[in-house]
Amino acid sequence: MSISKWHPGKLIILWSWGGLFAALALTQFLGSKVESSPIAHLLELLVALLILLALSVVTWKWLGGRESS
Amino acid sequence: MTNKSLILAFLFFLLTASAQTKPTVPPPEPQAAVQLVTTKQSIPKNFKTYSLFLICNPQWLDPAKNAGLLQLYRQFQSFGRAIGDDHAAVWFWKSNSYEHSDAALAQIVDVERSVRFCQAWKLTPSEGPHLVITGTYPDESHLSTGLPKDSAVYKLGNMAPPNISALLAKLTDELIASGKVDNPTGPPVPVPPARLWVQLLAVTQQTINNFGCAWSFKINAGPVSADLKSCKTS
Repeated sequence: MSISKWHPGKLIILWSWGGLFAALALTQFLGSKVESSPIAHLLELLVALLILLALSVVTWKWLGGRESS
Repeated sequence: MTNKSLILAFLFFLLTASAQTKPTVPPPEPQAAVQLVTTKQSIPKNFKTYSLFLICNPQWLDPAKNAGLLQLYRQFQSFGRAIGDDHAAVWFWKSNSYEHSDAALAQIVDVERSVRFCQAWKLTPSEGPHLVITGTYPDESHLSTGLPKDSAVYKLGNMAPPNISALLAKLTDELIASGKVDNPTGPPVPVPPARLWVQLLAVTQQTINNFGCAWSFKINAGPVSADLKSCKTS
């Protein structure tokens, strides 16, 4: 999927959905003890971190070079 | 003297002689109700199970506890008789004066011997007295090997006498029926240490939890105010 033109509204939509899924994954990660299922907890933490990381990269890339404007 | 009177006299002599020579020993105790009187006596062998009553709790040495101690002993003695000859019930005494008086009962309990078991088997004295039932001979010279695997430990410290009686009745049923008892608190199963990444994950979780509990959000907008706290504090 190619994005023809970035708009702040698109970033808001992305961060909203991403934040929601990251929060759900983090809630799942914090909801029970790690020892009960370490693999599942690891995946939940990684998902939360990757979502936030991906959103940060996208935002960083889109904002790159636009500081002056 | 006629022959008849001679025979009668002979029979009378035999009867009186046998009565005089007959030993006046008391009837033997049932084999299962083992009583170890002195510290030099060892626990008898060749039983299917060994039920050890261990008193390591100093509270039970209070003279005020004599009545309760005697009641415990009576219950345990009945238990020892009920479980049959294949199972040994062991109570450590220093002497057998309990048969005459219970005034100094606490003084003649062989606590030192029980303490050796409690120390070796990692039994908390304050939770006692303990009833340990094991299928392995409790060799006092090798106590350092720890509690045998096929052992069951019952903590009677916080149990009322009726509850102890009920427990002993249940254990009697199990010993008679299957020759062993369930293992409620046997030796703890060693838990393998968690791997490093699991430990790191747990630390991460703990850190995020602590961080999440460290904030609070308060809105005060005139008629509307809200106070949002992350964690409940009791």
